[in-house]
Amino acid sequence: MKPVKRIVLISALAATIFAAQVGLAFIPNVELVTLLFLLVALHLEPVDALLVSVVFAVLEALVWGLGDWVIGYLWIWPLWMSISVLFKKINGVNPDRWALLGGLFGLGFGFLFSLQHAVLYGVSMGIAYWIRGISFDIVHGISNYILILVCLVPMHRAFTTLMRRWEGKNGRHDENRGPRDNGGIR
Amino acid sequence: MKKSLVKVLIVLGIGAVLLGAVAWYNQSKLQAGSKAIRIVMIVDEEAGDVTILDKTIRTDALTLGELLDEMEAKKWVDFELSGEKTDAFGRFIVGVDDYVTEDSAAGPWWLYDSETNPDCVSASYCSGIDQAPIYDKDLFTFTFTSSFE
Repeated sequence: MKPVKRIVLISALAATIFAAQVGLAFIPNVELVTLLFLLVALHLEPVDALLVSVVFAVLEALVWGLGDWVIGYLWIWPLWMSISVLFKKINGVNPDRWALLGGLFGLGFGFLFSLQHAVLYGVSMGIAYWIRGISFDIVHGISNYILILVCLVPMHRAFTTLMRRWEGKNGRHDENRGPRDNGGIR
Repeated sequence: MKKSLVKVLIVLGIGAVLLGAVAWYNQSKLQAGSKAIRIVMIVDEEAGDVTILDKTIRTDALTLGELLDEMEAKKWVDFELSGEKTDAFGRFIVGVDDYVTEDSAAGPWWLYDSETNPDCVSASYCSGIDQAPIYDKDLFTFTFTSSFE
């Protein structure tokens, strides 16, 4: 892919995911970000997928302001992206497996943040932060599970079509290329 | 489709049970019945600390937020609070009587601490007022200050 097209794609995806985050911000801990990052991880090169998560975190900081949570976003979302890339070959596009993984990620989201709090403010603060937010983590895990289970396959199909149009002939999503050439994505 | 619906319903059921367990645990920490709670309010001014309120209150309130609501209802103090009880961290104290935070970036702000409340002591800090259970003989010190030390 040409560098300009690559930059545009990364920026547009980060902006789309940010818009999705803002759109659902009124429901605490119910978000499409995990699902959308998963789709990005399934369809883009690993480096580009990681860049999307970093641009997303920067966008969040620019709009909502700087705080310690920005540091969290800068490593937790790339971590989810890395997990998605690592499990891509094992899970394929199996919605059950991804829903389970996404659900566990949502359930552990507060714990990951609490690790950062423990490093920055002390272990007791980290534990207190985690315990305080457990009910939000449960909602996060359940909503992630349901959204991925229900939306992954149709969104994956739509994403494939859009990527085919964007990349044109001989792109990663070109139907004429074998599954091995395009990373197993059909 | 039917299979997915069953899975969704099972997960929703598990979520409801987990959330119920968390709510029950949080509720079990609350101490019902009459309690004597001492509230001290200090304004950190250049001339030194000025105590504007030092009162021991008998209450049935379960959380500090409820106790502050009672104090306001009895017109002992006039609180200015931001947010809602149902917010993730509950309400924040913006002002007490004439001492109101004008610049939220520079302060001074109303902070509070307790050396008797077991939840504050074990966590090394106190939660928001609506998440802080109160126990008999607790002492809460509120300070209007620009310093976190």
